[in-house]
Amino acid sequence: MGLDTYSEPFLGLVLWSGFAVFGLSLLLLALVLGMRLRLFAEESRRRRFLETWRPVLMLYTTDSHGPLPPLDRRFSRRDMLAFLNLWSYYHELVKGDAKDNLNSLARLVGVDREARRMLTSGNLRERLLAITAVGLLREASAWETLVKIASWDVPAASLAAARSLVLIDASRALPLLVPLISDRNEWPTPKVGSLLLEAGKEVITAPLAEGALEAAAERPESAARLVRYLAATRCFQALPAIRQIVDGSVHEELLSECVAAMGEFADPTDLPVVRQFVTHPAWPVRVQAARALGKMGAREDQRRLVAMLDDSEWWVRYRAAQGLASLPFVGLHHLQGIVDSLTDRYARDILNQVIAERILREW
Amino acid sequence: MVAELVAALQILFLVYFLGLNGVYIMLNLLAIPVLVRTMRERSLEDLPYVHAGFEPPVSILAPAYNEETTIAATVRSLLQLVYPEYEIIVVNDGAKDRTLEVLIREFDLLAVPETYRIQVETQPVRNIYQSVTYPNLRVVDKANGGKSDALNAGINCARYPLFCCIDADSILQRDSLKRVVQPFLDDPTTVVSGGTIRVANGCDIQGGFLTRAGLPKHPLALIQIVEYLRAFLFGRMGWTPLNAVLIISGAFGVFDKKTVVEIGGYRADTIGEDMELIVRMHRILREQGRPYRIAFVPDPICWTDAPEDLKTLRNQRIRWQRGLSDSLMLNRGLLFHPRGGTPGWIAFPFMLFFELWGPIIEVAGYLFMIVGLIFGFVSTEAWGAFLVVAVGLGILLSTSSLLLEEVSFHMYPRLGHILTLAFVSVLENVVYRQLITIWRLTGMVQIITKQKATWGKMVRTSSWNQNQ
Repeated sequence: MGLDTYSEPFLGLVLWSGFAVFGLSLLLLALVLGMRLRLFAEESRRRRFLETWRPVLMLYTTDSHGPLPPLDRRFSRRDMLAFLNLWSYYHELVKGDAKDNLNSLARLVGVDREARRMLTSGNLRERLLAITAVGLLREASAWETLVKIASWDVPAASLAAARSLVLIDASRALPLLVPLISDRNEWPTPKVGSLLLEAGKEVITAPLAEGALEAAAERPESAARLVRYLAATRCFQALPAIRQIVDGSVHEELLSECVAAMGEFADPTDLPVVRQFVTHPAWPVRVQAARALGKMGAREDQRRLVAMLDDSEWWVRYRAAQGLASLPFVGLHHLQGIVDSLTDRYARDILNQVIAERILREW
Repeated sequence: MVAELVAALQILFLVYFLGLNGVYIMLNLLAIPVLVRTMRERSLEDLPYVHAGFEPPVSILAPAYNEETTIAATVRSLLQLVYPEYEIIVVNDGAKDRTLEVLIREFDLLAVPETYRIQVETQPVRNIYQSVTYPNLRVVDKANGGKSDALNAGINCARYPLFCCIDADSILQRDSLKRVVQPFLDDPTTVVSGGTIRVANGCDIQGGFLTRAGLPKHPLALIQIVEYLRAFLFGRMGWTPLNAVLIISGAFGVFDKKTVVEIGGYRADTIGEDMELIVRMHRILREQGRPYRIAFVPDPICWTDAPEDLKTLRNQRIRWQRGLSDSLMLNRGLLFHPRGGTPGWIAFPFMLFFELWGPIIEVAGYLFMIVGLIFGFVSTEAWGAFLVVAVGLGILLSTSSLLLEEVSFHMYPRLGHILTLAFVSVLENVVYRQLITIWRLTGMVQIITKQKATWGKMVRTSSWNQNQ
């Protein structure tokens, strides 16, 4: 009676599978052990390699003609990766001449050739290191390859290529990159932001502003992203473009970013424009208007901010209160006087909160 | 007739275990490429880069109930996280001990007249405190309402677009927040991101941070290491490419505040509030047809104290089973919903059939096979076949999770650690898994008999987080 009576082939199959499963488990365990032993060996080899090369790299950050360890053969693939990792790390840490010294060292040991070759490697890790290395080395010969990689759909590779293009020739790279920056929302904003900072305000302002203007009508989300970069990298020369966008756009997100940028730049000539937005139907725009008034407002804007204290949205009330408290001509006593004059409970509460925060800050 | 029934039952149990482990093997296969790609893509991440200040600011919510001995150490470690902009909101959920007094004393708190913005309903808030020493630390003192209610109060007070919920006994790494926020930067449709939780027992902890991974001496904690590796490295990684992760641990997860508020915040009437929120998010966002992503990062970013006594472990697993039941039952609309996608058509049915109802079939299967062997209506061959699918495949899965760990993070540094874990991978599938299944069944019985769910008392074994 039982399963064996009714379906012996099935049982046999399961039993044989059992042997296979146990065999496979043992194989996996052996694999784990093998990998660990290999890791130990690699780590020890890497340690030895670093012990030799770390002092050399350190030396080359200050001296472009330091002695080299005997190079009786080419680096093995593993050593090359270890060298590239370490070299890139130092390169990112240092500035000015030290970077040039490190580049001389890389060329002396043939890293430039190897990095160019690795740009087409099938291994993503190698490729990423190579992309970074050719950028840090400012290898103009890698330009075309990097342009192609910048439009790949692997964000880590495309963004690394974009950065390398900037490092090689920022003013040539930016017009190529702005459409990508505006469209590729999977490129992490902190990384794009740092790439733009590295490129420098004078290089990025015109192409970003132009890109924002172009995108404003058809792709307002993209334009908003570009305006945010302009504001964060403090490209004051972009203000005319931002004003033009504000003039012709009704898109909430884009307007918010533009008003925020105006607040960042705090040019008094933009005050009339900012004031228009304190009663905008979209609260994110009102929030930015309140913030901007706090940064650039004149005496007459005090009443506008007071009026915003009973806004239906908490964030508008809070930013308006913060704005009031940050106006240079409004002291604590003055703020207390405003509280006493308020009839709306929400307005009083939020201003009391901000007064308490200010007292704590000044504690 | 009886013989046919016996044969049919044997086949049912075999097919069940084959199905269960088959899905796990599939998840394993899905997890491997994701893990390998992730490890390769991040090869540049250790390089220093210029910070441009675009990282989204995060509000860290730490609910605390009777945590007077641990809360100061927890907050101190949170204050040391490496992240450009974050605030810490500790929610004292009507503690009966001196949690609030400890916080006031240790962090120079002053009551501030802060407006309490009710976005999700909570028990009344008594006071909000601000630290004079640490401008990014606030404490919300409220009437007791449970963990969910405390988190909701934290959400109401949070000023930043992302919030991170943590358990008061979580051990983080300094870059935990940076790593778990990454999916929000990579994909703007991300609404939740969670990371791998590991067992902290046996590890070196200093100043609230893990300095060196190690293995505990206690066998129960040791086994849970392999269990956690299985649960996270492929149990969750496997669902990630399908956007069908149904659980992000309440111990450490980052959420898009706007989305959480829109769906009503945490439910206070369930014991599994973390999973319920994620399943509800899937259900509502799918119903609305909104694009979204629930992400899972494989990094071991949070370490937790695993129970080392059977009673605490039992309570924990019963609670998890009840939480699972609540999460699925309260969101049953997701099951086979026309817009349900992979969460509604694959992950939810899997959770319902194998994880929720599974213990009933598993315990019945073991009982049937044992009794059958004793009384002779199950042959030794059939018993052998049963062991292969119930235990053998389990061992294969445990060893494969060890392999995944080895190809990715290899957190345990010594060869001895690996050998021990290899041995434990086998041991975990004998007795331990069966014991857990019985406790899960107990949870099911409690649900069916409508017993009140309780958190039970967590017996802490580590001393790392005691106030110094």
